[in-house]
Amino acid sequence: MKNLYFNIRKSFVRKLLGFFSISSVLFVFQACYGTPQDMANDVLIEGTVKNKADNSPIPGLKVDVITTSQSTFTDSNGTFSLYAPYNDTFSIKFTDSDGSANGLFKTLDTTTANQTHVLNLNVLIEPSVK
Amino acid sequence: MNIVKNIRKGLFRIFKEEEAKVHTLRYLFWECTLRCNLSCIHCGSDCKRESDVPDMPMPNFLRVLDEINSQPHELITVVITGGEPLMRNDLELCGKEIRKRGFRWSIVTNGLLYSQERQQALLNAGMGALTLSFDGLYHTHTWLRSHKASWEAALHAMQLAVRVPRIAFDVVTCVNKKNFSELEAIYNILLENGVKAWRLFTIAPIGRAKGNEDLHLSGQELHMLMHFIADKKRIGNMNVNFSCEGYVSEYEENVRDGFFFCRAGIHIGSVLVNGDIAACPNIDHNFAQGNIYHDHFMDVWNNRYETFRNRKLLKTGICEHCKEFSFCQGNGMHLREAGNPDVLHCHHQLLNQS
Ligand code: SF4
Ligand code: SF4
Repeated sequence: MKNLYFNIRKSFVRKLLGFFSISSVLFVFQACYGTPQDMANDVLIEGTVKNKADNSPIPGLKVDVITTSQSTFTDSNGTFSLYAPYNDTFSIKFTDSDGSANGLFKTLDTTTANQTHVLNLNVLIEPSVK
Repeated sequence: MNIVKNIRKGLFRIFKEEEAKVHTLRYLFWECTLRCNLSCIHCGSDCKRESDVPDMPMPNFLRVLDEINSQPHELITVVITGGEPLMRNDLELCGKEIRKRGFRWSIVTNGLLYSQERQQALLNAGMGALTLSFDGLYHTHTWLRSHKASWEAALHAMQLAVRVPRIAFDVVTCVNKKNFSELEAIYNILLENGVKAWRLFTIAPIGRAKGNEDLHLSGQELHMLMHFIADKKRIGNMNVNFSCEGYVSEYEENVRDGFFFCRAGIHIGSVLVNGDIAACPNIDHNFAQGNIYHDHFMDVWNNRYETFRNRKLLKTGICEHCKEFSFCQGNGMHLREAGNPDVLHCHHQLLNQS
């Protein structure tokens, strides 16, 4: 208990010293050959895309995160993942981009609410009959 | 005014001492490769000669992160450096694994391999910050980087990076005799292209830069550089800073967003390509504190780094009787050599010579 009090006081004193001497750059710094520090919030959007007809994974499907202008493709297991800047909702579009190579599928547009740093999506997509 | 500045300087000195005692890791360099697609005249790591050194396999580095994981690490940025990190085809995979473990990550690049597709892949893998080298107008940049396509590639990379608000992006320039007269022109190029942060550093007499007079500024030029940076900071169109590289006496606080603080071994650690546990990668490798293949990273971080944290040990050679020592503390650690009592380069002395 005494130790905890001591640590809190010490950290407060350090912050105060830093504040009076350098204001806003207490912990944001970079070494000569380094980069700025990343202080932003992001979300891991991941999931699996399956064929609604037989529940089999769909590889090679394009996943567009419209909200952040990012995109990726599903792998051979139908899974995808990407990090995107934090948002409360994500508008995501799934498109068959490889023609009939892995079967033909309809395009799916979704909007998903998000409150966490990991957004897990399990998506079923209908085959398209052409 | 001076009294206030001196009080602040004094408080900052105490703050630095406290930070050295607590030494919270905030910034971890990973020298993932020594391979490079350029052969820069000033390169501290002498990459070309060492390009036969194998890259560090990803699992070896991830094991280090798992050792750090037991402590709060959400604000630690892993700065992936080299060599040229984009030479690694598994860079995005490494980045994603780093981010999945809760660490943030960034890269330092010369831009030659940076493309729209690569940027997309890096962002998807959770890259949060990027630093790009841009060293002058076409002829000067290509002279320093020894590659004809390097200037256009860097400009293109800059134009791609500024479009993405997610990336904490800045440009760095090694200021030398050849690009000294181009600083205003470089500033204008950056401004026109929407760059928000620019960091300038001078070239230390280490690595290939040793003995190349074209690379080092005179005292008068260093004064002029300080005035240039201070002016641009005052104007405020861009966040222009002198790098952390050294103590610049009367210009302290006018050319950076704070006073000089070499955070190597205090907030900054590194894992070098051979597994050495060190601080900034440009520091003399004889200052390595351990090796990931024999030591637990956090044991080393918590219990070693004495020279880095007790700067009185650097009060030797010309620093021994220096009146500025309490503020400068023997300059940047990358300007020290193990076993050599003298600092390799003193900015304060250079400024006072002219
Ligand atoms: S002599 Fe040493 S302590 Fe004094 S300003 Fe130069 S580097 Fe710093
Ligand atoms: S060693 Fe050099 S680059 Fe690293 S923090 Fe110190 S001054 Fe900056």
